[in-house]
Amino acid sequence: MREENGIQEGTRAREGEGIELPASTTAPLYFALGFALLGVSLVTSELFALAGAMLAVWGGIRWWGEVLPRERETFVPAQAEAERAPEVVPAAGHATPRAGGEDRHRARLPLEYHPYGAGLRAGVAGGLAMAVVAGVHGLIVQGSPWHAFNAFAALVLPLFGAAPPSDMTSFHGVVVLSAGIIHVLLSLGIGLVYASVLPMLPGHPRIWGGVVAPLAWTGAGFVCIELLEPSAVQSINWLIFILLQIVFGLTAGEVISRSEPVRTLQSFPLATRAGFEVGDEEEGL
Amino acid sequence: MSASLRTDGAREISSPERSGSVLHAWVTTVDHKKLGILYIAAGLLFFVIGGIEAIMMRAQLAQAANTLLEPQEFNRLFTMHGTTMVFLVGMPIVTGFGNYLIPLMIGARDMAFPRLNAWGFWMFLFGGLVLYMSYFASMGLYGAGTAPDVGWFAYSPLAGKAFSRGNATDYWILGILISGFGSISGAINMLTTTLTMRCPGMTMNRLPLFVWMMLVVSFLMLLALPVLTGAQVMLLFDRFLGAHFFDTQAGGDAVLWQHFFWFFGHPEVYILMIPGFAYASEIIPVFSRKVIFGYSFMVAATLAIGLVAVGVWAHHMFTVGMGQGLNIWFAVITMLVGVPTGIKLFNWIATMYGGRIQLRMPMVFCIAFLGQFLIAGLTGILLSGAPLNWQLSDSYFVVAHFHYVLIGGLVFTVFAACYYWFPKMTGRMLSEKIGRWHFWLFFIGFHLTFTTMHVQGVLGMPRRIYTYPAERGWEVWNAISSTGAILQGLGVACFFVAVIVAFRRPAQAGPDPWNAWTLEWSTSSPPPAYNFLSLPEVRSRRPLWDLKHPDDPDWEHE
Repeated sequence: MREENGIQEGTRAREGEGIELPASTTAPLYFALGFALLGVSLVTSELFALAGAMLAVWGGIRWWGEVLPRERETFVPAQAEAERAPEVVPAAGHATPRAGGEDRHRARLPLEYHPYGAGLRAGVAGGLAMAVVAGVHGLIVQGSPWHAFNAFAALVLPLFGAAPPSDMTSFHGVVVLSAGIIHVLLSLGIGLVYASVLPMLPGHPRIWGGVVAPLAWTGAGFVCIELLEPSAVQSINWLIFILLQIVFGLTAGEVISRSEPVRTLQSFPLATRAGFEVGDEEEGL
Repeated sequence: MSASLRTDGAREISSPERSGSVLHAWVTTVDHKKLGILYIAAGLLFFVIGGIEAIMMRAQLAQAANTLLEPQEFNRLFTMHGTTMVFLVGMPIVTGFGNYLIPLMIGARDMAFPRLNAWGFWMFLFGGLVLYMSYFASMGLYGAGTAPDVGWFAYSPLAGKAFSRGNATDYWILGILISGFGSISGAINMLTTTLTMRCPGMTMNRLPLFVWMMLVVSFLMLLALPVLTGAQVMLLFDRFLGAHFFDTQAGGDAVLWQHFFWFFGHPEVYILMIPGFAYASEIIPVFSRKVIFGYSFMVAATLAIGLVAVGVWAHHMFTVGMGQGLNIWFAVITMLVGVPTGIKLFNWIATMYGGRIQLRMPMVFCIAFLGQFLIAGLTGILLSGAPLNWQLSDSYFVVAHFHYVLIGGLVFTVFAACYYWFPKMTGRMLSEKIGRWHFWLFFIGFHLTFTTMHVQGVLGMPRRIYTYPAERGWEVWNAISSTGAILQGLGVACFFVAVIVAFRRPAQAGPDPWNAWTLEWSTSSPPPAYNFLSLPEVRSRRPLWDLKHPDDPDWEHE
């Protein structure tokens, strides 16, 4: 069916009165039943084949008559006014754009991110705060500031095939160096992850960084350590472990939340994105 | 449209007052909406039958060494269950929703070929009846009827004359063959309607995602179903005329049947699943009160899925021994499906993100679908690895995987669609209260039944066994699975109660009960036979949004 003057052929409308539509018919039913009986005759009897052929021919002829020489149509009167769907009217109030501004609900997320430098700074600050608290805790409880380094090394070094330190309270240069390097790398990495992920989460970065992430990280750490070094699970003080994660998370979250977020390209007007105009953000460059 | 009265030659006047009977009006209808409802109603009827078959199988497997069913009865049940659910439930329901909604969504008055549409429905229905006729008419022992027992994929040489005596398998072939013609005609109709009958302004770039996805489904149907039809004709030749296409002892090739069947069978998964995506793509934005995230990517991902879907069929055949090259090829291509599917999942989640989510029944079912389909996809990725597939093939792990796809994915979205469009079809709302009973019973039952099947599979329980010894450690998992099946049955019963309750109440849904945005919600509920008195003109993907929000119309942003 093609369109003629905006109205589909075969469904012509008489404005206000009704529509002509294809008339109902039994032809397809007979035609289909004939086909089905012809098929079933393979496993029943010739009588089914005979009945099927007759019905299929009868249905086919009727079908032919439905469309030639002209399509048989039925006139369907228009619904009474009371039955019709009311016209769609403008909704009360306005659509609420997300994030409070100019079509942002249509932009891709995230609309802004924290610079990677903030992530690195957060990692350094968080790692430092964590080390200080661990050192103070070791000094008070174990009588040595190196206990935390040795305990960390005892956890990590066996994974690389190296022997853990024998004495947990003495200073071991290689142990402190290797534990320190691993701690710094982990801190920087997690700081970068925080900077990337925190802007995409609702609410305040301190909550996610200081509470949710440490708990999730502790859970993940527990599972990994149990898998990789089951004996170490017993030797870890999980309370202080969680406390240290929270110290890291709060510090890193604070550093990140203080950084100036950078708007992503999606928040710029199309002309700016296409390079035809210089956006406000770039005027100072 | 009710019965009609001929007045002047070719013209008749539809006159409800003069109609003979309601039944006559439905039987002779060529109206896409009535045919859509007939498809869905027939599909739901077969769903109940297939569900009863499933519960009977679960009752047999509930405890070790059970003797409730005979082995042959069990074989017939899993054959009829699988065949029914795929061909007589999934296919008609997706075709039914397509039939009902495509013309309404694109602003047309009917399908392109209304009579062919009716023929397609009757072919499907008669095909289903032929299949079930086997229970009464097929030649079995002592003259009793017997249903086919060759599994829903009827592998050769098992389906050959030598191993399937009598004609139960012929009923399977003929039933699917006949209903297949109906599905092919339905695909032609949906395709032509979408491409040629869109209302003014409805460019391809403004098509509702539902219509886009049904377009891809129609292409897949046209590509896959004729292959099955051809293979079934070849099998009939083998069984009736002594041909040897699949007879290995006479130079035929049994693996050829597997290739033919799965060249149809795997696209069939997408033929069933993409409509589920289509329902979710319409429902999630409306109940998140947000525009769909990444419309273009959703369309592209659907096209990509359609493309990849026809190139992965042999991942069902890793255990055949195709050789390392083909195994690697089909494993890699199968894994690729995860990319566009993942895009869709992310886009639905991104649509919900930050939205004002309304937990009405359609949305509740869609949210469950998201999680379940993710699990289905992940176990699919696991099975796409040939080495693991060798270990898990034909185990209950595979049964768990495809039920997560077809129930966790398709059936949950079908229920979502039922709750969402039932008011449009009938003018009545389905009860939210009963709906919540429906959801929770079905949800808990589903997970009890099929989550545990992953464990059964890993523990080595093969599929299709009618019983098992007590000492294998499978009893508790099977007992949980069977309990879940009963809960699912109760959940489905709640759905039918909700439908009955709705029909006992007056029609009061109104044209647009969900404050939605596509064209079907601009006409009355149920719509008149002609859908729209004057054809609508659209300027964006959400024409009703434009009318409701002239201060912020979509066409300014697309």
